[in-house]
Amino acid sequence: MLQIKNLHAQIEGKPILKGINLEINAGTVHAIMGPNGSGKSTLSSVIAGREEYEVTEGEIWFNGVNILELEPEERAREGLFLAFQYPIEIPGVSNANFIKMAVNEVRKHKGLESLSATDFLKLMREKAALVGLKDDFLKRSVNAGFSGGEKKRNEIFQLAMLDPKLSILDETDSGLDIDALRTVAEGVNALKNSENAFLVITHYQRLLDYIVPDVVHVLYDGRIVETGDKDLALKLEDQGYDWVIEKHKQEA
Amino acid sequence: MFQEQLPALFEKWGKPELAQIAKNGSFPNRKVESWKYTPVQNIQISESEKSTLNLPFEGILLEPNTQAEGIQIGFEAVDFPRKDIFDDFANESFQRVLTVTISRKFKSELPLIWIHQPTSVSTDCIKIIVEDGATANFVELYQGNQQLALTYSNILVESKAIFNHYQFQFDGFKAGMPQVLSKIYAQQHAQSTYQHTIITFDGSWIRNELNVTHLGEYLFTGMNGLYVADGNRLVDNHTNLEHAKPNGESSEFYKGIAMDRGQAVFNGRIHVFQDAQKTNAFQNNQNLLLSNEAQINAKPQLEIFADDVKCSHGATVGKLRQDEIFYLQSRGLSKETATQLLTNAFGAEVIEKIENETLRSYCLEAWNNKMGV
Repeated sequence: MLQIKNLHAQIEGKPILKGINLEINAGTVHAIMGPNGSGKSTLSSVIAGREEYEVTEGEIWFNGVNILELEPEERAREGLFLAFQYPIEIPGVSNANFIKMAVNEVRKHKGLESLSATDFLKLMREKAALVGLKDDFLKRSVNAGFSGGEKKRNEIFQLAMLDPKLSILDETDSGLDIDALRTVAEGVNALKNSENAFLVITHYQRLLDYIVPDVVHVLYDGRIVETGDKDLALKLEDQGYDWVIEKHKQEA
Repeated sequence: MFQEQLPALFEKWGKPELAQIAKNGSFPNRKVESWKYTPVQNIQISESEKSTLNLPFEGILLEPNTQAEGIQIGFEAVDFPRKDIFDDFANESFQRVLTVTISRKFKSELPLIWIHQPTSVSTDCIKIIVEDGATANFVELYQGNQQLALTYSNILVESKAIFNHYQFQFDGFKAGMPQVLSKIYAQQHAQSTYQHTIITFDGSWIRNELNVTHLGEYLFTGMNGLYVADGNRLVDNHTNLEHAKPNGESSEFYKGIAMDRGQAVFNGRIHVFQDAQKTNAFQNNQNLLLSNEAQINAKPQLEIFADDVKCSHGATVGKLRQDEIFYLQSRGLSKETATQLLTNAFGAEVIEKIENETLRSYCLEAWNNKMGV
């Protein structure tokens, strides 16, 4: 589904990613962990197409399309989703209207008709319930005055509505209490199937207790330096990142 | 030009005394600091019929024969400070001014409505007294193309009274907005609340002056505004708050958008008197500049003479944030749609502060229509 080959990227002339190789297949959950400043958020931004980052080398293929050529909205319509670490507030635009616009863009791209108002409402209620958001949330403005937990639930609600092929969760666990974390994780688990894939980016292991990864990667200084199964995450939880840094700092 | 046309027009309308003032007086020009960016010669006058009235929401229309529990209507002479020639026109016209006294017995949830429907150059004036402990919502609406409405309000908010004053300067009737010069003089007694909200996104030439003076302690003044200058529009907001007594609190939040060849002016003066200790004054003015030909002149003007006060102010002029546009793009919306939605949202933040649900929905719907959202 996703192939990243030798990806190098920089911001304002400062190299951040220094040769990332990563392959994600349908039906799998990958986790990327790493110390602060290792390039985790840069990687998610570059995959989603954020303009400020300049790709200097390498390729990203998504279902046979070289997405480095595409605008962020075109990547989204192809089935890529980024759940933001810091979702933006949009006063004056209701969650219902916003998600309707987004879903219709994606459907249009797929050559599908817009959903009827009734079907849409039904779908929204079902997905809102999945992440523990009440119906009145649909009328409220997008993220305006939302708590940290509500914002993250809204990201997973949008994910559920857009039904992407690949979802990247960027530090979705930050700022969440344990109940919100569990709700968000249960939402993600309910959406997992053999056709889609998840890339979970996190500093801490605790989210991975609930969203169990098939593959765990450790990012350090712009490169993936360790790859393993879920036990690797437990080792990091237990021993911290010092051993990773010690082992790989020669290469840096 | 407007200034040269005016004497003949006043003659024609049977107002020789105003014609005389127009002939002999001088109009503000760009050498006058407070009119520097607001050229009077851009006003254009044409006559037209009074349009038919169609209220956009339920309310109590203020007229000489208004009857409502807790509302008393009368007529008084009112004097306004004379700072420019428009004040001379106004004072000359205001011998019998509609005077509305709102008592504690007024319990209606409905807003009081004052409609400006100028047919040429017209002067509207109102005096409002909100008695001890009374609460009311008051809305000014505007209608009529290519005319000039000079509107003057004299407002007294007595102790513990709450007065929410709204000016909706957009065409809720779909008949065109007049040009407006609005002047408000509000005074507040102890423990009162005066909340002013102004929403402007229509009308070719608009200037609003808001003056609030504190006469007592432990009171609150709120001033919220949204102004949009698109096309060739000019919108000017001058606010002046006189923190004359100790322990007063105020919050001012104005947001502006200029695009196309629009011009916007914001001048927010806050004057904290020497003995107005423990004053808490907050001012925030944010502007979006969306085209190279548009102009925004923002001027916070804090004059603080007391030493034990909390005053903060911030003024910004900028573009939309890249990370916000990216967020919307990442949900499949094009850059153009994202820009439109975020500009809409920028303005909606002011509208969302309107507490009255009817009025908030009315403004939000009009704003969304304006922005095509």
